[in-house]
Amino acid sequence: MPSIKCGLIVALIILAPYTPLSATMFEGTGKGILRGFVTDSTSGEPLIYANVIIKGTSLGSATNNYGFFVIPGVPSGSYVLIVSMLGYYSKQLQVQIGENEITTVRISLTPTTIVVSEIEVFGQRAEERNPTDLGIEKISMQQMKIVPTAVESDVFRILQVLPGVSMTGDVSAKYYVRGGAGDQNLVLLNGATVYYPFHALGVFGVIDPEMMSGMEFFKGGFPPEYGGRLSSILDITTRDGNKNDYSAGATLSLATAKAYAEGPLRNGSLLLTARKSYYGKSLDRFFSNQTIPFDFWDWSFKINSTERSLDPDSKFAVHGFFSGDDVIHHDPQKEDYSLGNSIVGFNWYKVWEEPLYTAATISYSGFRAEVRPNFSTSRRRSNRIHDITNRMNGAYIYDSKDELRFGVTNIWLSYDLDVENLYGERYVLSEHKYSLSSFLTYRFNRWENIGINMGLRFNFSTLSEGLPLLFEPRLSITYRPYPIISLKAGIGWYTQELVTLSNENELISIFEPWVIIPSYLYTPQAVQVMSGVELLITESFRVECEGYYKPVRYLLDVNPIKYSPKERDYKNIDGESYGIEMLTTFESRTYYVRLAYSLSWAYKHIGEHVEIPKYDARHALNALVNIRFGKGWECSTLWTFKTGLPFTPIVAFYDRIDYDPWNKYSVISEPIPAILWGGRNASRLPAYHRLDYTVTKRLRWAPTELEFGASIVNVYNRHNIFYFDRDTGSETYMLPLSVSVFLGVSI
Amino acid sequence: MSRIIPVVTAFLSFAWLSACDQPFSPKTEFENLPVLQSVVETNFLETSTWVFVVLGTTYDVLGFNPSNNSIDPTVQGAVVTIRVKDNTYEMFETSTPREDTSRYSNRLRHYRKGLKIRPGDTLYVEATLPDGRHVTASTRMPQRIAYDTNYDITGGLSTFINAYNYGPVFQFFWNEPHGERHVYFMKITLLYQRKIDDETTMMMVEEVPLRIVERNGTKEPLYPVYTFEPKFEFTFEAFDWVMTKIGEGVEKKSDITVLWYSLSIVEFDVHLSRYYASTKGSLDSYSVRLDEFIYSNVHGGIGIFGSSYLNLYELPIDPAYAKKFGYRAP
Repeated sequence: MPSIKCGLIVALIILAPYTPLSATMFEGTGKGILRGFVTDSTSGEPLIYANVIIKGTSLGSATNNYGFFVIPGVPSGSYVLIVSMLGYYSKQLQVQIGENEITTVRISLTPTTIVVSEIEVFGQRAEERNPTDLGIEKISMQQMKIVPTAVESDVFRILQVLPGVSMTGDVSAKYYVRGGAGDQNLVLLNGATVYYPFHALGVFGVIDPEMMSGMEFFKGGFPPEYGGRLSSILDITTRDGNKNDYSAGATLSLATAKAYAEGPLRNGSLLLTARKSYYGKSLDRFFSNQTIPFDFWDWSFKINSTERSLDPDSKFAVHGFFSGDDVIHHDPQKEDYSLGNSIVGFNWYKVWEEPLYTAATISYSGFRAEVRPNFSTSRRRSNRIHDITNRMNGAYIYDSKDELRFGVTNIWLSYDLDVENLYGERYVLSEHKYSLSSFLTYRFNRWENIGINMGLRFNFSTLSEGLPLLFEPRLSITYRPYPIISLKAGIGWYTQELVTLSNENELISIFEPWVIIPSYLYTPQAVQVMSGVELLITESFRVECEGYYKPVRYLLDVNPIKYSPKERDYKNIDGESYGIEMLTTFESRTYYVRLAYSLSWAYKHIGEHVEIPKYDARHALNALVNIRFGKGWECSTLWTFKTGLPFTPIVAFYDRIDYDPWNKYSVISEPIPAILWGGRNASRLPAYHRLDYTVTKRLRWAPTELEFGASIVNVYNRHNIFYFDRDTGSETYMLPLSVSVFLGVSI
Repeated sequence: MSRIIPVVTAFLSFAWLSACDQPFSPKTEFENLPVLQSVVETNFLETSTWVFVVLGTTYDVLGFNPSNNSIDPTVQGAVVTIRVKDNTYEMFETSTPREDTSRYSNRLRHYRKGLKIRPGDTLYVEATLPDGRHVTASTRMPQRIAYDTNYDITGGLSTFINAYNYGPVFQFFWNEPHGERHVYFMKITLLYQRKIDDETTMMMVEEVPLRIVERNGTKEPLYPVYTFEPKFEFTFEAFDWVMTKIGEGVEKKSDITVLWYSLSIVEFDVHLSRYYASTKGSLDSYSVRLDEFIYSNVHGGIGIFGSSYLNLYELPIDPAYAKKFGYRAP
């Protein structure tokens, strides 16, 4: 039966471009299509999220993850095209659109760090009409660089300044989106899943920003292209490498050394990056001055080629990413840890003669995690994942500006798990499963004031057996009654078959194994309902407001006191979260100001009992100010305020026996004081707030570029409580006032 | 710029002020509960054993450190009974001097009773506090362990073994109780006599480590800790290490007579196993877990009522093995 359904959908996808609608797209319309690529003039790197508008019209678009844009339905004639992007001088060029023709342009933008003789328009916005982009944040490298960091620039720290994203402490880069647990966030690197995206127990993100081109972050309501998670998607695209010239660089921070090399290849380019920790002690402040013998590394490569003799409209890329984290004590009475990711993939992007764009990906993503107890009392735990994913996505743009998106994904997944809990109970699983899913989305862009994006994700064959959703409908609508106001609403159904067996009571967790939902449990499902309003007050001043409600069924909850093999390790519980988020941005040549506020609630329903998850922050406010003084000087200030996180309070103390089997009278020996805990997460810590500051200076002595700077974290040394000691009640604080410096050189 | 400076100054001033510690208490409304704690111990001799019960209540302290408590929370005047099979015994109240008087200066009050308890017996404890509160708990005594080994050592233990089949380790293993995970402790000690002079001979013991490990470039013994697995593995190297160690500094090796190895296995019942694991165990050193609840099997209050069984065996030593080190065998 699944094969019949599979056949139908494949046929639908293949035939979709040949429907009468598409066959008559140009006939008698008097319009043409403008499409093209936007790249960096110095490196040839595709520019993501660059704005492209046709001057004097309401027509425009933004580049996608590959620097590609399409503007359909352009009346024939001569136009001025304005292309702009943050960090680049805007460009204006003349284009001629022919009737019933596709015009392709290739545009390169010059970075603002390079002095040019003529002044061009800076930062002009393109107005993509009716974008149904609820819950999406597009973050470029330029935006990433302006956020102050504790040690070095980090993808996940940037996410945490977005409204709706919370964290449980300075120590962990792990993030929680709109009341969802940490494992409900999918991280994709060039289309491949990254299962453990952290270094050093979660202090850093594993993906070095140096290798990134940009990222799309969906806080919710993500389109049918994406599946497999309940809360968020982080889709990261790496750089292609310099297509014009060879270059290399190195950066030294207090914790890591990293380097990159890039250069042109035949019809393409190559990028190599590597990072290695060299001074673990600089991380001690993250762990209350506890020295942990960290050793972590990562390296990546990307080779891409546009073989014009083979197919001038295709681009091929081979990429790889490998990371490892080890904690080796060299002491047999202490446990050792080893974690790692291995990702390799092949991507093929093609712009067809028809206004059709396809992206095909085949990737392998491996993950391994192991706790080796040696002769300590720690528990042996290990987890391995092998994931082979094939994905074929396409977008077909009609002359009416409507867009049909479609795709097929199949995943072969194998995993092994061997864990033992505190009470000696073991949980051993080994499975390999296959899934096949597909999606169809139709975007109505034909109306002036209304945009509709409706789609469906079909799960033909699933990894889990606990009744995952077979169909996941998604719908979002935009209504623009006035040019400066957009009203948006959306609803979507989501299911998640792969989860981590992490214990939510762990503030820092070193081992978070991935498993397919066990067969005795139902597969988690969520509905996301969202609505919002966007005010474009001026070209550079924007206010956005979004509200959401997210009921979740069949969440996985760990049984922390499994005492016997008869008891289940996990159980299903329900949950819900809701909130409202506001984001204000102001951008000019000199200033970038971003003010984000969120008010949110998250609950778990465990039988009759309602519990607040540890990451529930009622109020969160982030204020980011970036000032470019000129001559390469730049500074950023970030102030963060959050309601204190929930914690489990003490209701009493008692004296307990410290039983020693070799001491016959240990029952009547001196007792040990112990804590009696109250309701889980029933109280809240004091409010969290912190001010961070970064200053950077860029110097350019051709061919060398030098970047150095310093960051001050927790400028006024706020004592934000991380947790309090269970034995003494003493408080453990998050990051104190600390200064870090960095130096980067590139040639 | 002139406008920015006052704003920034005001903000930083506010921020500096708010950076100070705010009054914060991790405590909530106090909950007064009875606390009962007892571990019934018996051994292979199955003779009469003292059962001790410590009865107290929860308490609060000024601040958050319970070590600062100086008011003894134990309860006097309670009625405590133990039921074994169909017999119910009332325990009597007594006290013993404390080893550490830094917290409480008075004697440690408890309830006790001498009882003959057999493996597999189920014991029920009931305590009624003077204020009328009532707590109960039960435990089932572990059974005697019948262990086996990977190598036949009935003729005397030695490391003169072709380790091809099972490797250079002695494995002691047994069946665990069906459906329950119990905590086990194991200890092997070498008993030997050392002749000090013509008239004096001293009886001495030395514990056998699990294995010898290298740490910071030096070889060190590694002794067994608790396990949920019904087995322990001791390396041949560990036995040789002990045999060598007892002769260190002894000029005339024949002054030493090695007698036998004493093998002790302690098994906890299921409740004491869980209690022990929840207080001593950890999944790893770095994960930070909060509000981990200590196991309790006491109804009407908190605490632990568990039992443990000490198995004791003698392992003979191969005389040729003793002679290899220059020692005498019995």
